[in-house]
Formats: sequence, C-alpha cells, structure tokens
Amino acid sequence: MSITSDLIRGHTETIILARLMMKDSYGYEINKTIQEKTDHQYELKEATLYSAFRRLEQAGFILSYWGDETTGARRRYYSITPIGKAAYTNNKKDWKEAKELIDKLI
Amino acid sequence: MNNKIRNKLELLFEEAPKTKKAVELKEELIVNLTEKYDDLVVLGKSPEDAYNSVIASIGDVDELIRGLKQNDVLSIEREQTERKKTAMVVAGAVGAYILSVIILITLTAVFNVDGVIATMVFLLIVGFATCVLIYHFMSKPSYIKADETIVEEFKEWKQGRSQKNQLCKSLISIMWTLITAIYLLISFTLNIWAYSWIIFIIGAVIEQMIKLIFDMNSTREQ
Repeated sequence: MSITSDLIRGHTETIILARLMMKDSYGYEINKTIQEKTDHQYELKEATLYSAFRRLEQAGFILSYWGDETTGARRRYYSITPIGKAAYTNNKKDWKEAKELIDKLI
Repeated sequence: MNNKIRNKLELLFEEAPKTKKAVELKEELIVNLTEKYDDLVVLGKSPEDAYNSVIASIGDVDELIRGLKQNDVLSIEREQTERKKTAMVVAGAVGAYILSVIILITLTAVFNVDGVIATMVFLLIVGFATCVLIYHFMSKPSYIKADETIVEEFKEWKQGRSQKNQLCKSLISIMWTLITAIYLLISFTLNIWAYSWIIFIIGAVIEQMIKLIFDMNSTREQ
C-alpha cells in the first residue's frame, strides 16, 4: 500500500494536533518528527501540511505566533488550544473505535 | 542556495493575492524549506540533490493560493451588502426629512395643533434622521486598505481614530440640539421656565458620559 494514500491523509489534522499536544512546534519540525516516528515511511508534502495548518487555525484548534530566533530568519510556531485538545481527544477516540470495528470485520 | 529556494517560492506565489497573509505564508515556507535543505546537506546529500528533494516535497501550492484568494472574494461580497445598507439608510433619512415637513404642515393646517409643538415634532424627526445618518457614515470604515501591510493598517487606524473623534463631536452637538428642543417644548407647554433650565445641566452630564464611553471604547481597543 502506498503510505501517502487517502487512508492516512484524512488523519493529517489529528496527526498535527498530536504533535502539538507534546509541545509547540513549527512546520518543518513537525514534519521531521512525523518522518522519524514512521521510520521515514511517511512524509507530508509541505502544501498538505500548510493547508492543514490553515484549516486548524480557522477552526480555532491551533494558534500561531512568531518565534524570536537568535540566528536565521524567524519561524512561525503553532500551539494547540483547549478546543484543539478536545478535538484531538475526540478524534483519537473515534479512530480507536473505527479500528476495533474494522478489525472485527476484515 | 537560500536565494534559489526563495526565487522558486516567489515564482510559485506569483498568482497569489498580495496580502500580508500571503507574504507570511511564503516566508514561512522559505524558512522551513531552507532548514530542510540544510539538514539534507548535513546528512551528506549534494547541493543539487538536496535542492531537488526540497522542491519535490513542496507538493501542490495551488490549493493554498486558492485558499488565500477566497478570503478576498468574501470581502467583495461584504462590500456589496455594505453598499446596499448605505443606500437604504440614506433613502430612509431623506424620506424622513420630507415626511417631517409633511407632518409639520399637516399638524398645523389640518389638526390645528399649536405651532410650537408642531415645530418641536418636526425638529425631533429631523434630529433623529440626522443621528441615524451620521452614525451610519461614521461607523463604516471609509478607508479601504490597499493591502495588509503595516503602512496601510496605520492609515486605516489614523482615519478610524479621527472618525471616532468626529463621531463623538457630532453626537454631542446633536445631543445639545435635542436638549434645546426639549427645553423649549416643555417650557412652552408646561410653563415651568423657572425650573426647566435644569435640563441644560443634565445635558452637560450626558456630554461627559458620551465622552467617557468613547474613551473607554478606545482604551479597550488598544
């Protein structure tokens, strides 16, 4: 199965929320963590990542701020909001239920 | 190599609207892609390969840019509804002016109402219509920003602030006109000239309250 298929892409936003639950982060760091955690089997396209950021921000699940870096250009950091955390918990529960259900059926 | 990545992004964002959001997104992409490039070079990739990998990982920016454009389209629709509202308010106010004259003439000629009272009614309707007109024109932002740069935001803020001062002054002068009208009205009808001047003291209090409200609003916005 191609890892970049729709099966995983639907969960992009929850994946991002999961990373932000750990700590505030910026675009590339989030993508890098995802790569490392999946042993380089999964990598998000930048466009997909940033579309997801925008959707999450519009929904109020995350907010962004500019970091002040000592070297190099400034980065845009994202942090999760209370309703973002609630959305993450909900989505995780939904996924667990769906996983159990489908495991029984196939 | 930083410039090469930057140039590529500028090219991709050519079609994007020239707004602050678009610029910020472009900057964010450049920063992240550059960091990715640096990491790849550290891992041992050649500059060429690293650059190609980075560009290949961008994916499809069209959806991103379309999303940026969408926000602009919404504001055009909002502008149209604002325009219709303005037209309605102006039409209503002018209608009220004409109506007030008709009422004045009708009251005195047909119903034989005392001339002073009829004039007071006339003035009140005119005052009300003028209030509505001024409020409407002062509360809509007459300065539409050319884009979302800091310069344009500053111009809009400056305009807004002077508008608020004018609105405050207009409200206060309307209030005094009404106070005078009410003073004359109740004095003539109730013949209490000895006491009715107190209303001017009340007017002074109202003026201070209006100023206080505007001050509170502007400190809250800061």
